Amino acid sequence: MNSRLWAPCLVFLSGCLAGCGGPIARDCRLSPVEKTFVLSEPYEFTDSAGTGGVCLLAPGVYRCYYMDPCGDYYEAPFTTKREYYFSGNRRGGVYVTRNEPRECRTYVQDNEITHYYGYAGGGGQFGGSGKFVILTKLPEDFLGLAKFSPVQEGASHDENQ
Amino acid sequence: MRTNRMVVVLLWAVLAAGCATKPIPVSPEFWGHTETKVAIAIASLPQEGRVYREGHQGLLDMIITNAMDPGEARCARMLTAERFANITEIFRRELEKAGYKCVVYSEPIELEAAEEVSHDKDCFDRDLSGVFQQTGCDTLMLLQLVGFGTARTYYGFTPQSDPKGCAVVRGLMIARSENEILWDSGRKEGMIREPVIGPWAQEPDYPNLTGAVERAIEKSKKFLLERFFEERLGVDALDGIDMHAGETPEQKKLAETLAHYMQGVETTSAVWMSCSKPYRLTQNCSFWTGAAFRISLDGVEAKIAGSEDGTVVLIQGPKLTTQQTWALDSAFGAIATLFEKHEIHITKVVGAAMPDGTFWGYFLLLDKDGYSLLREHAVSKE
Repeated sequence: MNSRLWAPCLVFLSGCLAGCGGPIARDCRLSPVEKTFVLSEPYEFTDSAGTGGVCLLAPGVYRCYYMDPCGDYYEAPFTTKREYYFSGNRRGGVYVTRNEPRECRTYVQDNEITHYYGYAGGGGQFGGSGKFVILTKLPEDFLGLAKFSPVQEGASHDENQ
Repeated sequence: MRTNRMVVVLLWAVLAAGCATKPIPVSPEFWGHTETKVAIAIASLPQEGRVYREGHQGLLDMIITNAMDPGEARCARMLTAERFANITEIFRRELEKAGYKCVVYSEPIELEAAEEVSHDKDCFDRDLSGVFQQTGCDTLMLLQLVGFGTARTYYGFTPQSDPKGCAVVRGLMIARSENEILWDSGRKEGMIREPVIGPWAQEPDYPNLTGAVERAIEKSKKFLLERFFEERLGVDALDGIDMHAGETPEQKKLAETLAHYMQGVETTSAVWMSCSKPYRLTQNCSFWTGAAFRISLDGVEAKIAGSEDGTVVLIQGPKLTTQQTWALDSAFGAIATLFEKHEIHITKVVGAAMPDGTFWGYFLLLDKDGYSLLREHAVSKE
């Protein structure tokens, strides 16, 4: 508890960010409320936490299936179109915090292909922790372009089905 | 015998990964010909779930992990894939909305039993002419749950992660003439993983892990729909996908409680906190471990510390060393429910976050003394 005891740890952890920001893997919970937002046009952003290149979010319905104490995970639609950031095996979407002012970041589900070093031979193999990793902060105009469904307070998924 | 079978399956998986096909998107021409009559069928479902072991494993490691028979393997053998079967109806509804005439082929197709006909990479390699004849259709939509079960990462024979729910799907559209493949969702792409919500090792039924597998199967249906229809998919098309499949009543109640209270949780760094900051905790706060007073509420254990007037409460899970997320959430849910009953209002929740983003504890700010109430539920001496 004494902060002095934590000091050595800080040397190793200084690059990491605590709390509700930063590129971190999160444990999620099922969201009890059905929420969506719709992007009517592709959205362009700079992937500052990744390659630094300009990327596109696909238009379509983003659905919230999971939450954590800080925000909600809206899953991007699966697509084959390679021009979009979430296509092929890259799965994820947009993480929206609930604190005001709300903040939007991309997240990916850790599904990377690992290589198989077994004695049985080489080859590609799927791996990854399956956790959600929060990455690039999206510009503030994103919140204005994404049309969020009205939140139905207390509406559980059972009532919606 | 089971070990041998697992080794064969894993070898097959390695070989299959090398000859995986690339996805083939639906041709724009298909969408222009609504007179096309489409048969929709599923391939026969796997009889039981499977364990997908990922990561760096040699043959000896595989044999050891098979012999250990960890819990996820027992769970996988209990699972069935029946919930995948309604995918045909969902596709039929969406295709009919788009103007196509559809026939759902009622019998699952035994692909292994079908005659092998072609090795052309653009053509389907099994003879399904019987299906075309029976349905009188021009194209066949074949939806296949290739496998399902649990996925876990290993290094050698040591698990590197908790198991996840897993489903592997592939969708194909095949033309009657020449068996040409008109759409292929891909062999590699259709692997869906779902996290387990809460602890997974719950013998004998493994409800949380089973739930994750069920959600993976549901999400595999979503994957096929989105891959086929892409931007043509209606907003309500996914309403039939039950992303809360396998959710236990406890999970549901807890999620509702968390969603109610966690409307923007502020965070503080657990690295910098102490018994005097960010809040002065004078009751049961330990120099070494934080909250030190152990309580139990309806079987949910937690550790607490409090401010002098009892209006600030620090809650932590019962153990310091293990994965705490579910235990901490459960403790929060039980305490919030108790406070609701006694009309003690939580005015603010502040999460104490570790550098990896996991929460180590929550500070609850209350409108009156709630700490004294919690102390009535002590399970051990201070």
